[in-house]
Amino acid sequence: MFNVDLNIRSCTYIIFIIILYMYLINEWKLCDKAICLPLTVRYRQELLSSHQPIYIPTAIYETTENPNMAEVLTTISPITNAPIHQRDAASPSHLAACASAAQAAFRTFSRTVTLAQRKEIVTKFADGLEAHKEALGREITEQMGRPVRYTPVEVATGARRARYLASLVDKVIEDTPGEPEEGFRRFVKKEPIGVVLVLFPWNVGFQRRTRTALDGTLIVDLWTSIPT
Amino acid sequence: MDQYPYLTLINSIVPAILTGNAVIVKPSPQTPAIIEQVAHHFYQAGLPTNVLQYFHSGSPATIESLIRSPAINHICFTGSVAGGLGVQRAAAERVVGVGLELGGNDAAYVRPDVDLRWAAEEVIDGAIFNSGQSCCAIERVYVHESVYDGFIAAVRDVLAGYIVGDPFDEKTQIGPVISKRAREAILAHVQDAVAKGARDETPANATFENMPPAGNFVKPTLLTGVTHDMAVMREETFGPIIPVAKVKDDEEAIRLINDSDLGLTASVWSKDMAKAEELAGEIEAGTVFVNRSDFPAPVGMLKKVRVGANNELGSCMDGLEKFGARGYAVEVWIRSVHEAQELPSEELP
Repeated sequence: MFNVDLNIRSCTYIIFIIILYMYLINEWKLCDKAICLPLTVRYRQELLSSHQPIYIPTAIYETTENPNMAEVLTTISPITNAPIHQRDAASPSHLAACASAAQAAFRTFSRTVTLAQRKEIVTKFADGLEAHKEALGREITEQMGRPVRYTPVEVATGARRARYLASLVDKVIEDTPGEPEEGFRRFVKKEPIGVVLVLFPWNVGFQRRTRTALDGTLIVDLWTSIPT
Repeated sequence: MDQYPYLTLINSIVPAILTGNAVIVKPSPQTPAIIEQVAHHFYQAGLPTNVLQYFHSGSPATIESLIRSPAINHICFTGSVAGGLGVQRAAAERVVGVGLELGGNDAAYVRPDVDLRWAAEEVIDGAIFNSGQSCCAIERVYVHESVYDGFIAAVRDVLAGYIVGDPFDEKTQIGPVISKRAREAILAHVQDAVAKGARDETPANATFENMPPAGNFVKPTLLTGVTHDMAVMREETFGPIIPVAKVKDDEEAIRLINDSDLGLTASVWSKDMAKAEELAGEIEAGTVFVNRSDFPAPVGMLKKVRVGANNELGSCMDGLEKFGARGYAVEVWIRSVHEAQELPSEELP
């Protein structure tokens, strides 16, 4: 009985050391030093260095009300009510460029990347999310306040949904046969439609808007008009 | 509403990419880093340049400029009814598909034949998980009069054991709501209900009385004696509030459930599967559950049977089927009560 207990304890310690080691290795891989930056910053560094195609607007925001103001979106923590993220807002001209680039990308993507390759991309994407679910979960908690005991589950569920959708797609987009008639072969072919715009707001008024006028004046106000 | 940022992003983006489309995303300003992570992992997985892009904005005028652009071929919006109508108006000037996922005021009906403790645990979880901030959260509860007192006692008993607090603490079950303004709106619903005769029957709970002062915490609140004159029953409260009304029979329950202009989901709690399925057919909601409610929490998707013309992920299939217009299919999910109690806690929806 004593030996069994001892063995269990030893195993527990070894597992703990392995987990700690894996954790540290993982952290070192993600940043230059063992002392890590906050997660989101670290990921963004990786994001910027790994590829350039993602659109990150930095331009001065032009509004019809006052074109001289830069718009910065500030995310307020639900846990502390302190600012936790800031992002520059996109200007209409940047969005137009973004849409043109998306059209060009769509034409190539839909013609040259096969369904099997697209499924593979989605599956690898799901694997990537799942591998980082703990860190990504903590980010959800930071931005939304949902307890950390639940948030990695959302990431894992998302990965599972992505795989599920990949498993369905062949059946869903296969040709639908038409009414048989001698001398004809009839079918309905399903094709992609192009560029899809996906809009996600949250409820009105959760967010402070800070605007900086050219004279350096900082204006802070609440959103009241964004679509919710 | 973007209360589950990974799930909602994946529901929209993955079908579009699988079917060969390009995607531009404007995320919620509350969770700006999530789309950055999603894009990062897609490009790491080999997605070609510019197939997935995103931008940050809080300006309706700027967003509308993109909605009006002929370079956009389809628009998906997730948010409130007012926001969805705004998107639809902007898109109405040209021929373009619009998909809207809007709010709910979802009802639960507890029939007399349920295990009250189990039903109380499930209904509370459905109502206050994620601090009640889910479009599919239970917003109002109707209980048959013959089990009403027992159900309220069970709810009080379960709520007494809940833990509200720092969301980074592994023990915490309920964190803050998203903003000060959201907190004020939720508390206004409670005050309106109490002013009109509702009773706050929330049990004593040390964590409810010692919530962290800096955050936007709202204690889980049990309201009884509620009526449809109160905002808490007519509008989407989007907070950890459990308003419970007594009904005399199935007919009254169905009438009250259908007395709403929102019909996202609803749930019936009963051991009589045939009766529950019959009642599900009378409820005017897009998705009706029997013995479960929907939320991305550690609740199983095993042991239930889905009946109906739609699919598990309706909005996703929309995407897979060329982002076409969705019909008015009704979705019914049924879970056996006995089997449900054996669900592994780590199973995911």
